[in-house]
Amino acid sequence: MMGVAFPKFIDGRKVENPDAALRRVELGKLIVDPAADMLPQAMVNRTWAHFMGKGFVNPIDDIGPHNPAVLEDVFNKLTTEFKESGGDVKQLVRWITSSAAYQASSIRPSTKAKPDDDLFSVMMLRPMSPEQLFDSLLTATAAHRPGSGRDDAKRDAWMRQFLFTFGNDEGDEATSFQGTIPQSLMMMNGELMRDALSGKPGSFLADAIDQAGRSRRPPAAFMVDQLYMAALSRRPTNSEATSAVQHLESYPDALPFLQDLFWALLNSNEFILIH
Amino acid sequence: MTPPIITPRGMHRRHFLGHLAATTLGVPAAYFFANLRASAAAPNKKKPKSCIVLWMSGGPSHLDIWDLKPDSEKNGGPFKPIATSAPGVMISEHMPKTAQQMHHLNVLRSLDSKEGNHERGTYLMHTGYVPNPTVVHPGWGSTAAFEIGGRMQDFDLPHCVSINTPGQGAGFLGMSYTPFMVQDPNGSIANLAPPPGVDELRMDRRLQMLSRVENDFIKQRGAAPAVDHKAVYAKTIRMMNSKYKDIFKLDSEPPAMRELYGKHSFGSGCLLARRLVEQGVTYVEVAMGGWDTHADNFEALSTRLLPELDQGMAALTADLASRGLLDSTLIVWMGEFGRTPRINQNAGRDHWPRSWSVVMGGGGMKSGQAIGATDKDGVDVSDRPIGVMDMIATMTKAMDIGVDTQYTTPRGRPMKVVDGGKPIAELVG
Repeated sequence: MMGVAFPKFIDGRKVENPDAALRRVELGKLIVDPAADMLPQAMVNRTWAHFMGKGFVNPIDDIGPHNPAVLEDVFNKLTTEFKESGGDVKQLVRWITSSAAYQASSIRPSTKAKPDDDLFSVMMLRPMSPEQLFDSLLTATAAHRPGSGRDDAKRDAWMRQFLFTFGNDEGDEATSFQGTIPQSLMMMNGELMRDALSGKPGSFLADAIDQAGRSRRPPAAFMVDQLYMAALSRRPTNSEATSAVQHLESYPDALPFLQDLFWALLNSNEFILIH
Repeated sequence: MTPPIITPRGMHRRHFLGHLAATTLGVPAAYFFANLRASAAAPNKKKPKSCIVLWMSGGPSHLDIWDLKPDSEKNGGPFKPIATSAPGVMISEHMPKTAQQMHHLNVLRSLDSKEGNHERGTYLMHTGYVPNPTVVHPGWGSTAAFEIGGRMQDFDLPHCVSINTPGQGAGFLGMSYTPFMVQDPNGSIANLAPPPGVDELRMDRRLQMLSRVENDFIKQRGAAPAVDHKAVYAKTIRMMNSKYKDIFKLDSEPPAMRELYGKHSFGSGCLLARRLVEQGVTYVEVAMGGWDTHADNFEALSTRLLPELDQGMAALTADLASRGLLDSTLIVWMGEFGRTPRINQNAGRDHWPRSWSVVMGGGGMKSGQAIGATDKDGVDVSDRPIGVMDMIATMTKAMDIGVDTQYTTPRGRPMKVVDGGKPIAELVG
């Protein structure tokens, strides 16, 4: 027997008055149906994953009874509050970023804790996106503004090169660092890194050396501090500082050593991974 | 035998069983014996298998290359078939050099791959799977690299290389098995050498300082991305310092050899592929573009595409054979689909996944055969239908990888290398 087949929703419900209905409108109604929590759930899960590296439910777009959430109470509470706020995304971001989970450090509290804690007691490490990495490199090194002002043409050329080498497929399953050999080669030996370390007037390294001469602190310690702050947003540990300062004080020409140290910091996992 | 699985950290069950067996603690007998069998089956000192895929991007017109239809008035086209070194196997007159190598190869003329879109066909032919929005399958080349290259200790080169194309990603198998892309086989690898002024001493100093920062970071966090980052750098540094780094420079080949392969990007890619498998690289893909011939198909084939393909493919096959590498090197020629039997009003052919040809040989396979057939007009498979998974199963078996190999992805999803396909007995039976 042949008959007309009408579309059904994935939950089995039928479209009322199928002849007259516009299917996209019906789908739209299903998605925003206030009786179901699908939209606020999806929004909360995605926003949480944006800040934390992974969602309550993973993969983030596969929410349903077949795929249970972790910290379900928190997930449900956030979903309800978000819904009651009328879908206030700014408020949701405030809640998430003021949570203890978001404030957590990526440093493991003890060796017993699992490095990738599912319950968000440790911040998850994740690589910067190619765009973030590129901008971070320019911010740290000022490679694009030697001499006077900034060189936007050069910046754009690097950006294209960089995105070509680092561009990756979105949506792949990997949660690990997805670097490749050409990417590491570019970070180690590429043109951007070369210019970043050149020490030309106006670059970060040139400025650091220049300022060290005028600083009231011992110049070696000052320069090492500057490099760590620029690359890693922290001061060197005592042992890191001691060995670098000793080296700088025993050799008259600071630039090659500073170049090498800065190179090491910018190539490190600590620089490239958000932690 | 229990299929090998990997854990989320990428540990192979076979390695894992090795550790367990050594401790002799709580090893179920079945696993223990499976492990014994696995070791017993390992070939002694034989050269590990390699595979070279010749990737025809755009969808090659199989009816004008491997499966000519001179008796079809409407679909035949102007090209004539010629006899080859394989008795009874005829191919296009524009492939005269490869015709002389057909005793090393096989034509599979009855592939039905069902995907007629470039992106989907590319994914399917590389992974064996239809694209699925919820999961990324590793390319088969990465799987082979993982299974074979992954057992090599201290290997300086990437196990998986892709020439003229980024290739298919490795998915959850991770960066070590992601194709290393060679953009231009006639050029050099970008950034392989440190910049001028950074000599060995300074590079050493840089690496020492780097290692210190990295190790401290790992010690505090211990998380996978930090460890992986260090591993990628280690692999990169190894390649920079490798005695093989000149392998990518074709200038060291005798001029006659370069002429034989052709200096176009495909011929040079084939030559580079031979150099790489000679050193033990597991998977090399060489891409050639321009096959999407919706218009002026015959002109494009006879003047540009087939002369290049013929030269590179014939040179590669003959060269591998004369070096004794053909038995350990599987050659596969394919694209994302074939082209329509019907010739359109622009003298072109369109996308056709329903009944088309791929070519494979070497790697210890039987050879010199035409397997399967299409009807007189090239429309329907008339003999021995072959599915993409059958092809993947055949390639897997030819590489001595278990066709029952199965992984568990980091998210706990089981994934088979061969899902529902059967190795083609005429080739690897």
